[in-house]
Amino acid sequence: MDRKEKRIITIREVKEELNSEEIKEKEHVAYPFIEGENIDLCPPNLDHIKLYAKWVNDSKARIYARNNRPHTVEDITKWFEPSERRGLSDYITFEIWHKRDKVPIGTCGFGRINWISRNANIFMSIGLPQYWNKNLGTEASRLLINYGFKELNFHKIYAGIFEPNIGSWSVAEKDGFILEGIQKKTIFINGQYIDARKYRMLKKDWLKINI
Amino acid sequence: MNIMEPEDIRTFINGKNVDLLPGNNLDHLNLYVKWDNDQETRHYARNMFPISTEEYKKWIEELKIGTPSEMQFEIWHKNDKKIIGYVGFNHINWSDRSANIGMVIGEQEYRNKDLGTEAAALIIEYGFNELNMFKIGCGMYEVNVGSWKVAEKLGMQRALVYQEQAWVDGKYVDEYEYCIFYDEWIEKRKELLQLGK
Repeated sequence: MDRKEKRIITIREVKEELNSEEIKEKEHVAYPFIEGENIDLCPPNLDHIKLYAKWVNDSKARIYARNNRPHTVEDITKWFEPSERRGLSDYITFEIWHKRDKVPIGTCGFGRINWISRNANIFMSIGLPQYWNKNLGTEASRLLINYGFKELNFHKIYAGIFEPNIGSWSVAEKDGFILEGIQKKTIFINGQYIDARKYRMLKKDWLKINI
Repeated sequence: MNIMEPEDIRTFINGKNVDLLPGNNLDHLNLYVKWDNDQETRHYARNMFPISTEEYKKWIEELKIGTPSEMQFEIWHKNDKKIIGYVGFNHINWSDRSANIGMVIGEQEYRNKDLGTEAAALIIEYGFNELNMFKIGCGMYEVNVGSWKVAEKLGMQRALVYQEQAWVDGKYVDEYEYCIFYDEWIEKRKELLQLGK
């Protein structure tokens, strides 16, 4: 099976996944919030909850995302339901939408937003392995960083990435994140304790590489 | 309010100068609320928003579901028979077997007397010895010198420095992360528990 054929089958699979009874035959619509070249960042779409549930539980996709217990579709629906509280949320999640293939391929956003110290943890997960290693994560993280510094007025964006997840931390380094330090033996994955690499990007450092 | 009748003192962990009693005692809610709102006490404790008695009560009630992800003890001064603060684990992760220590000596006259060091040594021993933890950590701002000196006295290593992580007293300051592993604690505990017992 060549690469192209494999990709088409995959997209069909994804679309079948999405095409539950009520939305069959209907082209999926995205409402881009931030537009990129190959991908857009869109608000989470409740029609795609089943797909999110699949990613969150997928043994390959969840391993470095700290999801070590099962999540139901209902659990995940709750994450995206409007909060009863009126305060500013401490996280922002986007769906990563593949423009050409017209499918959601993952999620990304900011967590643990501290509006006083003006910093946040950036997170990203491409749920469909077929879209890994295609620079889409790099594109999504650049869009997010831009949004964080230019719209949300952050002072610092940081990330924690587990040592064996080389793909992710090499993307972070390519994007200009600076290694802040190594958090030793911080999580138990695959039967052993592994380190986390902690990265930072201060706005002043980001400005130097983005003028 | 922080003086208790003898029959109400339920010691969970014995120390030399201080004991640890079960925390989150609804009878002492006003005391906790006083400490968490007190300008000097909350200064480096990241309590940047006021907290009401009702909010505190709700928080305590929500904790009582499942195996705790947080745990709180009152610090009881044996000689003076007074509650002087609280110490506990927050963010307990039972699969990684790790936790963070949070501590407040709420009554000012008891600060800088090594009582916090003693209370923290007791809770670290409890974490490793009884709860089977692998790693215990804590975090504080660089300007909170008293707090990281305590961590160093306990044999914790400064594992990470998060640059310009927090806005404190009108400027960005670094945040330190300290931690100690079980085998490191075995080395340190004798020395420290002599201090406590």
